[in-house]
Amino acid sequence: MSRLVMVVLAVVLAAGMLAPAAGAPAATPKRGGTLNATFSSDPAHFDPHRGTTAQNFVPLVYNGLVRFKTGTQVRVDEFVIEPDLAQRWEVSRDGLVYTFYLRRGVRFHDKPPVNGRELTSEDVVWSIQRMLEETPENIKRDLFSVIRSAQAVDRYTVRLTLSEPFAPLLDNLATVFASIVPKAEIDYKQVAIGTGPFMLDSFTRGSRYVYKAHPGYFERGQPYLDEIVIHILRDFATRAAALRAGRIDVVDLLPYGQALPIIREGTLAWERYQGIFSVHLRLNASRPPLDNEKVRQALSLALNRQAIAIALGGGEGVVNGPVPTGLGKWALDWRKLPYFTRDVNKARQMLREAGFPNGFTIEGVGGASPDNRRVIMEAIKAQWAQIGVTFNFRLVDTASVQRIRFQKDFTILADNFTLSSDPDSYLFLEYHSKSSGNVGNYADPEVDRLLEAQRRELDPARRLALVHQAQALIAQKGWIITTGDPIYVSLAWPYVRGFRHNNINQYLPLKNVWLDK
Amino acid sequence: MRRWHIGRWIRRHPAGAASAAVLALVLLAAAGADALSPHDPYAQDYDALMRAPGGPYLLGTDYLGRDILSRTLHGGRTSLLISGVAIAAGTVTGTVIGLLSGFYGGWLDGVVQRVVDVVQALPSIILALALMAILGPRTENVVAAIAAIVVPGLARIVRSTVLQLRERQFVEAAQALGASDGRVLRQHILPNTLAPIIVVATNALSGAILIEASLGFLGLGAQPPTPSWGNMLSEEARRYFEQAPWMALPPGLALSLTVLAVNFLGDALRDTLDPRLRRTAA
Amino acid sequence: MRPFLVRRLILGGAALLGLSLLAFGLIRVIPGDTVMAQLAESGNVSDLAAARAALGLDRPFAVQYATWLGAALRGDLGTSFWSKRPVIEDLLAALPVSVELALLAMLLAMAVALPLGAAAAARRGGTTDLLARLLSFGGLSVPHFWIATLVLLYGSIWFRWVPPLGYVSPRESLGQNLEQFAIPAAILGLHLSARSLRLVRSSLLEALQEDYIRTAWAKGLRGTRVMWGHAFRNALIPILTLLGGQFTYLLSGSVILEDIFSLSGVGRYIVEAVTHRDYPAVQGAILFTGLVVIGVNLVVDLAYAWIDPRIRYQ
Repeated sequence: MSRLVMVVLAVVLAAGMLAPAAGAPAATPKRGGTLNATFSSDPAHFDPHRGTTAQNFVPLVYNGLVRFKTGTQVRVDEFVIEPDLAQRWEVSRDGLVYTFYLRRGVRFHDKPPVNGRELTSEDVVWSIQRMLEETPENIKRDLFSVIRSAQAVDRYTVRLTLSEPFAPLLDNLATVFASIVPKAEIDYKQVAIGTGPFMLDSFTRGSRYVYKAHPGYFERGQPYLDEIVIHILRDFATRAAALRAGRIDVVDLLPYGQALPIIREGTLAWERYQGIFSVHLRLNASRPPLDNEKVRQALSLALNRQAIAIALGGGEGVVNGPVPTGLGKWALDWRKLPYFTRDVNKARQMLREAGFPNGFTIEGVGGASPDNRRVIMEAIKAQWAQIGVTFNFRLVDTASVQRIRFQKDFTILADNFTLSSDPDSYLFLEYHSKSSGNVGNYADPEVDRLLEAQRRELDPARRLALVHQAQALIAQKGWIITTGDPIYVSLAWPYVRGFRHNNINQYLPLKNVWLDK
Repeated sequence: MRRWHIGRWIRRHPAGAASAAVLALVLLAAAGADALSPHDPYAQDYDALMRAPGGPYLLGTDYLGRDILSRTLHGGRTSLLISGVAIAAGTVTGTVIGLLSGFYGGWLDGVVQRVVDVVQALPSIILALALMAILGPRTENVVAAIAAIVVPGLARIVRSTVLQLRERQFVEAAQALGASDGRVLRQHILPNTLAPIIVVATNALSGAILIEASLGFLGLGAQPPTPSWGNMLSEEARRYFEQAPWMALPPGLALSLTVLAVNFLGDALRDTLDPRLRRTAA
Repeated sequence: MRPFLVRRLILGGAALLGLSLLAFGLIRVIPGDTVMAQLAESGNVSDLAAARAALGLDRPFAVQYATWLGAALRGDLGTSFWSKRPVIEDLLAALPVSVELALLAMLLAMAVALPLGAAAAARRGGTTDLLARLLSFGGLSVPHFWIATLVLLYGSIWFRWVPPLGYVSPRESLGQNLEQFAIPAAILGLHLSARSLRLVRSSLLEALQEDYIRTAWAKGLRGTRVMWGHAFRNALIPILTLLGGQFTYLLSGSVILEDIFSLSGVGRYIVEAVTHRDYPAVQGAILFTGLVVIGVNLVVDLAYAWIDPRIRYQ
């Protein structure tokens, strides 16, 4: 395609704005080709059940029982569960027993020790037991801990029994942390063997990860691409330049402000959406003066969250309550949340009432990367200064953040949430007094009650009401200071067809992609 | 040391003189940052995020609506203070180590030289990284990290100068007359090592300003929101260079100009002070 | 010559031993340990002690050091806590990138610094001198990461070009290999040439003052002959010293350029290892670079004798 045609195409696409990457609807996908994508750091291993670093490298290698629907017809902020390895499933009336009926003839990648054998219910049970193991590395256990037992009814049927009804179960099973792996001893540091559309072919740490199409993949006709290469590009400037130079075909999660010059060039197709990372500060509720609810509320009240969100996005951002706006209906409009709308005078007065007429000095700590941590701390420091609070923060490396989190050795910690399509992980995991993810020593019987009730409630409308109620109460408590997210952009060359970002499994959408060139 | 006339020196070293003038200006601007800044360098104006130069913000604003001019002035103060203090500390330490090691020789010299070998075999960025990780990310610790990087090189140079001096007749004469070690070191050896020390320290200074910038790139420099040329040039300045070059250009030009001036001055000083080159000048 | 060599080897060994001890201690002093670094997010921590014991971190420092040193002497640098691969393999994979970058940068630096430095020394105080110094100081006064940023940004806007991503070995494709090394090597080379240039200039100036050069002049030898044949040979000594010293920096201090140009060499390897508190990797990498640096310095010392026959090592 000539440059001129591409430019015209891009302009036409950009005019559509909402779905420029979708391209012409009725085109028949072409086969073959290599897609170059990028990520910022290496995974520690390819084990989906241990830690989060594999998260961005294995969604295409493994399948789950269920998955999120991806493709250009799905909006970024909607999360639709569809069958994956399970063809269909049944839920008992009391919500305690889930029976999954597996697809037949699904084959693992043809690699030792599995050598392309068929997937059976044994593999599913094995995987679920791995997800439930109580090793320190199994940090996503809380997503599945309600599963009391998993049993293979027959070769293609698996039954999960829960200890209590659990509304987020299917959403949690659709995450990469619930991937189904073969029942075999596998060295996950070096290999990844799944049933997914792509096989991990080779990798060079710090440089590139090469995936090849899985010839025996169960979805007829997919994948379209022969090969995907994920390049490790640590530097964002390199990423943007490599995209412009065509060494990279697609980039997502670029803050809008940074993408602007590339968007203006009009050469690349682009799409904008809200992230669900929700940049935030955790306040340690067991350390004075933060053990005083009034102080926390004053700190919350003193913030101009909109300005912070906009600064994060380099011009465009969105404010988040406890549940990020990107989760659609689950989120409450932040303007309705208590202590979220800035009022410096009231904040000062509350500090006075709490016994701090002259303010105080408080320490904060956060990871040096991602760098938006620094931006919010800089902004918050300036804003708290106006109510007499001196916020001293320091930025440390990842290993230090882990230590601080484990030992709960902080007053204020800039941190991240477990990304999820379900509000439970933003609520129960963070604020329930018994949750291991509760690192700020938050404890309130009413909050506990609401959080337990919402995850047990299987009626969507009633659950929605409980989730909203819980958020308002949590905002009232002022435990975690959520600010917002940038507006993100994904950019792709116009020949990349069928791409739409997914917030949970970032690279999963690549299975729909084909190259029109 | 031989006396020299300012006027003649300026004529002989126009580049050096110009550099000295530039440096004097930079130092004045950094020292007077508070008085010269039109705005509070920490004040954030959310209605003017990444505003182009002009209006109330002469050189524009950054990603949090802070005045670039004020931050460049204050950033210069931070960067020069960090580099200056680090070099001063490094020079004093390096000189003392070098003097003692060169003067006494023997096992002390052997040990010191081996330690210097070891530290020099450790890449400077790694040394800084480790020190910052151990000491914690504080602006004061950047000083320690940079000082640690320059000490071994300085110690080595001072030592070799002392080794040469120790054999010289005036030193032997002083010792023969019963002067104490301390007196010999202070009165006879130190003054004669001053020239190479000044030259090396000047060169190290330009290096230190750049190291501070590199540490800023790695997120290990002066801690935000404290402005320094290094951290003003990192992250957002690079990210938004296309849209907002004014975030990077003022601190970048200031840094380059300063380093350039320090280098030229160092060269001129070297020509002036180095006894072996003096003959050419004559 | 032989006693000198033996002495240098013993001293080099002592320095390596010291370096290994320093690396071993330093990485253990940094707060946050490898077990913490591997647990990416919140979870239960009951088994931390067991996880540490599994890595042998519960033993006394001296025992850990002795065990490691014993293995290292046999050429075994241990297994990385992070990649779970032998440290030596990971290092050897990162090494070609760093060595090629260092050598190309040095070649480039010499190609610029030698002729320009000589020209500047020959016409001291003249226009050539000033221009050469301006060029060299210019190269020293812009941080690497800025030159790199500008090249990438405007390369991609104006020419739709950036260097190929990820290391391509010269055997795979020499063209692509050079395409990706050209810019980072030029940036490092420019920086290094700036340092070398002033040294070349001043060493030549010094050499030109020596009595034997004056004699050569007096005997009526032509200027270029004196410059290249006599003065130059002597000026090489400090330049070699400088290059030897810069090798540490080039080998692993170029981490910023490695990051920006997506070349994962020894520098990035060490930084990652420190970040992950991957003790065997840090120790192995530092020992390894130390070995290279001490080896290079030895070669430099030997080169002195070859360059200047007056130097005889006792």
